[in-house]
Amino acid sequence: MNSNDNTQYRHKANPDDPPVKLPPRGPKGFLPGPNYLGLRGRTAIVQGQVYIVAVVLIVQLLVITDALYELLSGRTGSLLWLAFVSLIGFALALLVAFWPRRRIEES
Amino acid sequence: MAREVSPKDQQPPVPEDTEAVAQQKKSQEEWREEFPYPWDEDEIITRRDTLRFLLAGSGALFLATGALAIIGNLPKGENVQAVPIAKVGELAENDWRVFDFPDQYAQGILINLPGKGLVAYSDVCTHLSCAVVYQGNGKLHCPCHEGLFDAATGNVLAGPPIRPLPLIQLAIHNGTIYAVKEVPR
Repeated sequence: MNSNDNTQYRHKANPDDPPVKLPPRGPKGFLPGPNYLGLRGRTAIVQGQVYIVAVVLIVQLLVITDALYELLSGRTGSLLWLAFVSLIGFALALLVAFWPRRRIEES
Repeated sequence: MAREVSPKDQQPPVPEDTEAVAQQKKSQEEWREEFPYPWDEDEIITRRDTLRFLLAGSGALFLATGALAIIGNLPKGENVQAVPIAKVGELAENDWRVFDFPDQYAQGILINLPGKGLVAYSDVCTHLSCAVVYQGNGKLHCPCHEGLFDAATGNVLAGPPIRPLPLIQLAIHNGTIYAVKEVPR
């Protein structure tokens, strides 16, 4: 391969890529992406919420499994701590689910 | 693979095909007009429904865990009952006996250890609840998964169990040995 060709495209990982553009600017600075204000952006946000809350739910399932094991084993000292951890998980799920309340703005 | 394009291929489609496509498109539009359904919103509703379902599940799991904590911390009675299990001097050294305690649905094991005297434990293995047996060498053996417990203390010596056997407190009155109370550890 000719070294001149390399120098010609050295600033692009892939010469077929479209030119890089700055993300759109919102009232408080740059927006997270070009589709942030549209339907696709909102869809991505809800998808992310679903993933995070699902992870929280899995952790809570592990916690309640351990709590049941501790209770049936007759050791009740750690049950309140496990309930506290589950409460933190639920609070985190509430925060993630209700924090981004932006309405969809059709672009 | 490159293919030579003939002038015939570059011609626009024949009018019959265009009309058929237009007719098909029109019929689809009529169908959508008769049954209007917001497809884009449907995708959002599905994700949001999933989110609500997960959120409700998270709340339910928290409530269930809290209920388990409340049940586990309810004030319990002393649960002291005297169940006669043997006579004094009935068991020789290294002899052992299984007895029902506190009812017929749970058993304990009474052992006369050389140099230590009478000890009693729940005979339910703390791994997967198999019944343990005394081996005669100062060790209690769980045959299910080869768990070993120290007969003098009830502590785990080997195998998959990680917790010691629950201790059963004994009392002697008028020459009779009584099982009094089970102490989970």
